[in-house]
Amino acid sequence: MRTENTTIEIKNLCYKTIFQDFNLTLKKGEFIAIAGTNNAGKTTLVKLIGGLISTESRIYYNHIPIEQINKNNLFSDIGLILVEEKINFLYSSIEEELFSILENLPIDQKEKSKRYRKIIELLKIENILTYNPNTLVAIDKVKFLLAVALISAPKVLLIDNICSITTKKETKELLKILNKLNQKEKITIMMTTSNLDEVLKTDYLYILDKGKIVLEGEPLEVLKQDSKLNKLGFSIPFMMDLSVKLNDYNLINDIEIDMDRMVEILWK
Amino acid sequence: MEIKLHKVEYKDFHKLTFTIPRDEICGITGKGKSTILNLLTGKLEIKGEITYEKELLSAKSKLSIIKKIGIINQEFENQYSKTTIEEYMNYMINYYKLKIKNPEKKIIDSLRIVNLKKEYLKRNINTLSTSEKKLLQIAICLIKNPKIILLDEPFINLDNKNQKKLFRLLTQLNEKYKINIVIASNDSEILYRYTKHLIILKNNKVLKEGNSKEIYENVKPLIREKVEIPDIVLFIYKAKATKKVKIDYHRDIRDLIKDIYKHI
Repeated sequence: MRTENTTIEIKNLCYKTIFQDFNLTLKKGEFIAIAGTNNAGKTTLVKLIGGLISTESRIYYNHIPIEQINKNNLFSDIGLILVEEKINFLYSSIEEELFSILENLPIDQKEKSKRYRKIIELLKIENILTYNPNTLVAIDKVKFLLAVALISAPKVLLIDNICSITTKKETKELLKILNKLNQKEKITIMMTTSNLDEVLKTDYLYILDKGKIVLEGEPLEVLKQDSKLNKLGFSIPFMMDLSVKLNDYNLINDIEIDMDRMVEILWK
Repeated sequence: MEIKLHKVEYKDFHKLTFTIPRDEICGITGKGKSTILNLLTGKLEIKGEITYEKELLSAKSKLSIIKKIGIINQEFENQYSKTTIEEYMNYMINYYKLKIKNPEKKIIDSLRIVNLKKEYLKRNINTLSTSEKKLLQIAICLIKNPKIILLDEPFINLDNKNQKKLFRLLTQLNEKYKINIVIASNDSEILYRYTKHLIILKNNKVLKEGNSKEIYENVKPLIREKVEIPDIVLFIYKAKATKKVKIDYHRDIRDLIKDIYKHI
């Protein structure tokens, strides 16, 4: 059972026709991915956990039902990043927008500027600080949303559809940042995705289909079930796909996702 | 409709010259791809020449040319805050001042082509899924009978099933309805799989222009120029280059496996 050190726990959640008796646990310090094709229920799940949609007390944050938590506390502890959502920001530059949030935090000036510098460095957004947050290109938009969430020093990050608007290369860059946040800053992360390319960088993978978890486990193990995933509508990342298929034909013995090593193994 | 750019100057682009061929699904990739799509719509102020099927873009021809071109942005924006699909599409007919004899039929036909059923007319746009929104964007475009449709990262948020569906639709529009399709994308896998013709931009210039398969399978120059290469191509290239294996380039992984089997 995965119950110790839980941050977020969903018990027998029912919501509209999407979720029936749905259970999910997010452990402290974990980085999990929830992959689902279009319409699997990913966004609804993120909004439910983040407190944007209210339900009866079936979702717990540190063992307390989220409805009983002060919304401001919940929102600063759980950073919600809805990549696809169109949000209208008040200020005309990223800098001003971040300052305005920082302004209202109950921390001293020194801590404020320290936090600000750190976020800018981590996300590498120095050169876009004067840009208008309402007209950012995809990658900058995601980084900006991350910055907004990080300003409140959250314990948990929920990121919906992480690679939905960025290209493969950009998504790779984002995943590097998330890994850093998870490992160095000890932030618990849950991300949803419709694409299996980047899930190997996470600790645990759930496959969501029509509101149900249909597969779960270590990402590598889950990805081995290629025919099941194909049926659900996923495409398998190339090296994984190649590995599993070569394995089926007994051409290799182990899963190998490094391209150079695979060439070496096949043609020694 | 063939589009030819000849020494076009716009913002950072200098002496831009290339051709969008008539009958093939064409891809555009690299920095500035979205700007190029906007250039192709004929709406921007430029120096140089753009010809649409031998007709030169000018102050005089501009209006009639613009009408023939549809552009589909990455994200669907319900900019006129219309609730249902029917309202939205009727609004667009008014907006474009289209003279359509039977607007109702035109709307239903456009939806049918993209495989959205008649029942969708009364659907609230906000309740549509990502892939349905993409189809709706195309249906809206079809109302004005475009000769060319320009799409910015159309596949980016679609799962595999919906990607294939969209590709089938685009192929159908291209082959059956003779509509030119231009896909701007920075995903090399998509471009390798779904386009026939390719234009790669780099440093505000055209780096490569030609058959997509040929461009991607000539790997060396792409590595040198730091162009993203599809994984399947890169793998085959590495096997050929480092191990002198005589396998061929394949778009389908099953064909690749068969070839590996033969050469092991």
